[in-house]
Amino acid sequence: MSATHPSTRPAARRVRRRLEPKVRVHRAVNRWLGPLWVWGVLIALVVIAIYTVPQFATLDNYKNILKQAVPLALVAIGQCGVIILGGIDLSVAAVMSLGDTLSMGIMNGGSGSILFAIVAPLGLGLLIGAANGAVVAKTAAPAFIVTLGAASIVQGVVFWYTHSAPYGAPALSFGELGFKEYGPLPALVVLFIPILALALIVQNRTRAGRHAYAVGDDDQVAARAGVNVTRVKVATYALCGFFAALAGIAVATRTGSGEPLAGTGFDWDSISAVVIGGAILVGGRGTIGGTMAGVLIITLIENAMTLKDVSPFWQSTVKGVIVLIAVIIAAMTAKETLGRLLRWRPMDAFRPRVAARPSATGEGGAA
Amino acid sequence: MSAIAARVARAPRPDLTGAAASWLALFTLAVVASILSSDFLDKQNLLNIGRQAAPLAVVSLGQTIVILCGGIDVSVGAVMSLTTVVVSTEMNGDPSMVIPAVLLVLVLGAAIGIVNGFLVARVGTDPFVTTLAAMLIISGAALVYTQGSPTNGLTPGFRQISEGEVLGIPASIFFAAGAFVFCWFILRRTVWGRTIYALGGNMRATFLSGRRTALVQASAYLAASLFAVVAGLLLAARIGTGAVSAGSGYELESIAAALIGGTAFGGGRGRISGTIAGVLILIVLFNLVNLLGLPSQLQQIVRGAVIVLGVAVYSRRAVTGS
Repeated sequence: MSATHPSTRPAARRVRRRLEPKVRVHRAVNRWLGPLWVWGVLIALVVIAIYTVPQFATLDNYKNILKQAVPLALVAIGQCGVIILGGIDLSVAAVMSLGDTLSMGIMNGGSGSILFAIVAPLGLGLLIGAANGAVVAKTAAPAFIVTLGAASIVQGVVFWYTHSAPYGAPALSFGELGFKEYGPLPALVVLFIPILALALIVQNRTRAGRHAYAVGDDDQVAARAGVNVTRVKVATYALCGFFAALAGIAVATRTGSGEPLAGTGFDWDSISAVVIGGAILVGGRGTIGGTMAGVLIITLIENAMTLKDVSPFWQSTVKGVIVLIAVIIAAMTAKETLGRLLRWRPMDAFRPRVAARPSATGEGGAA
Repeated sequence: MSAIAARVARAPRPDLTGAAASWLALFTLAVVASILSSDFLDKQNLLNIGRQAAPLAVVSLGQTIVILCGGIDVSVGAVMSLTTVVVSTEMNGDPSMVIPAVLLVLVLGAAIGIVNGFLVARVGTDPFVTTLAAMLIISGAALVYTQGSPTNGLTPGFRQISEGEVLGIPASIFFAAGAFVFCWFILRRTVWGRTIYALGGNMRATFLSGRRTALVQASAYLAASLFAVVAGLLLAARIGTGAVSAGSGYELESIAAALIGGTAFGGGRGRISGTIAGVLILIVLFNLVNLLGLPSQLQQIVRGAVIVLGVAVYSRRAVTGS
């Protein structure tokens, strides 16, 4: 287990008290905000956009970016938890479509069943996620195959439910939510803030959060330390499904009817956001704070490209390049690799090397 | 203690269990299919299965190589799509352009594979995210290249590599068989192939044995990309058009085929004969769903369920832990 995430609370307290104040602040910032360079990149992008993109620097546009970011932010919180575990969830896009169409279908323009229209998709998302988690925890099947298969199943159900066409309609008050403002902020953003706060607290201040890091670092060690690995996995995947369904409902507040492909692209986008935020897919590393920076970077780039009238065909390429840069930086911040790159000589390019996990101590494990 | 004993006891057993189990499953499936649908054993239907299986088989062979050395390549579907659009645009109905167009896509595929391999093996990036980014970039590039519309420049001669028949058997099956023999040879009869298995088993030990781990690991990604290009050519010849979404789904299906065929995720164990069984299991099931005339939404549900169940039942753990 890495030094930043001691497993037991009393020990953690003791260690923290002995640390230099500077180190304590540094660690707290890293935990709650994620790697600072990601926020630096975000600020740099905002500055560049202000000077190069017309219509960018308006209050309405800033509000718009925040509002657009909410669904992706919700999915990315769930995805972040799963990636910290060392897993991945590719079913979030389909679950989002399910959340969107099911809530619209239940409401169908009437306001009598708003509560049920919110609770039913959330419960279903929770169930789908728990099923994913159970299969991942109990078999040797890799997570992305399981969840991609689940995506195919759920999307098929959505197509069957909606007859592959826009479906249902929002209740009047529900539909207004997507465009209303509470004070200076869009309503969706205001509603999102407590959810984010809760997620951050779970990540940093609860046993469940610690256990997720422990399982992601090495699930066998975690099991021997008394963590119920299966329960942690099932619960984290279940929460991911829950957040995906919630994101679908958030999308539903902004559209006139349920769209069977509402979630398309959110699977790759959410993974990109988490990876940009400094997580690694082997698990044990990653923060919700960094993920939020990743979400804002992605949303900002989409917004700026739309304002500049860049062909939407380029968006996928640009996103891919950003993910590539993020993953290269992630590999370089693993200390060993950074040293190697600094010493890099062209003729060495294909000399053998042995990868050691960045968190491994001493000898380093076999990769 | 008991875990170590179990591992020692398991070690000398020949690595046939996974592949053999998959062939048994395929045989059972074929029997069930022929009972459920009288059309299944029809000669035309069997040839059709072969024609459909050929591109998937070729791309899955490349995928198996990458998985064997402990990696994963999710960009193969995008490489296949790119191949179909580039080859049909560059050919543009001119028979003399067939060979240059094919060479061009092979060079493109090689370049993509080398970049993937360099990043994973040398820079040390995560294979899933790296190839995912490659997938996003390639599919974006294909969209920009075609402006989103399908391209129809394939010559009738080129389409013969899938539609033509030799001795009554579709030509694409011969291409897939050739790819299989080639793959078997390089994996089982060369130092390179042994090193691929060794890398997946234990990278550090392979390194300490004096093998050039980074070079071999990178070349696995090159192989996967080149196999994907060949699969893309077969796919283009079969569907007769170049489309930016032609190869989507093949990344999932190729990985599923390898895992159902007994290749361990994480590397070190697996046989390409098992991968072929995995490919045929998937294609036979898809074919059965078609024959039974289920509605298209249900087909999608069944596809997903088949992949999850197959991988969950047949997946094996890698030799060494992480």
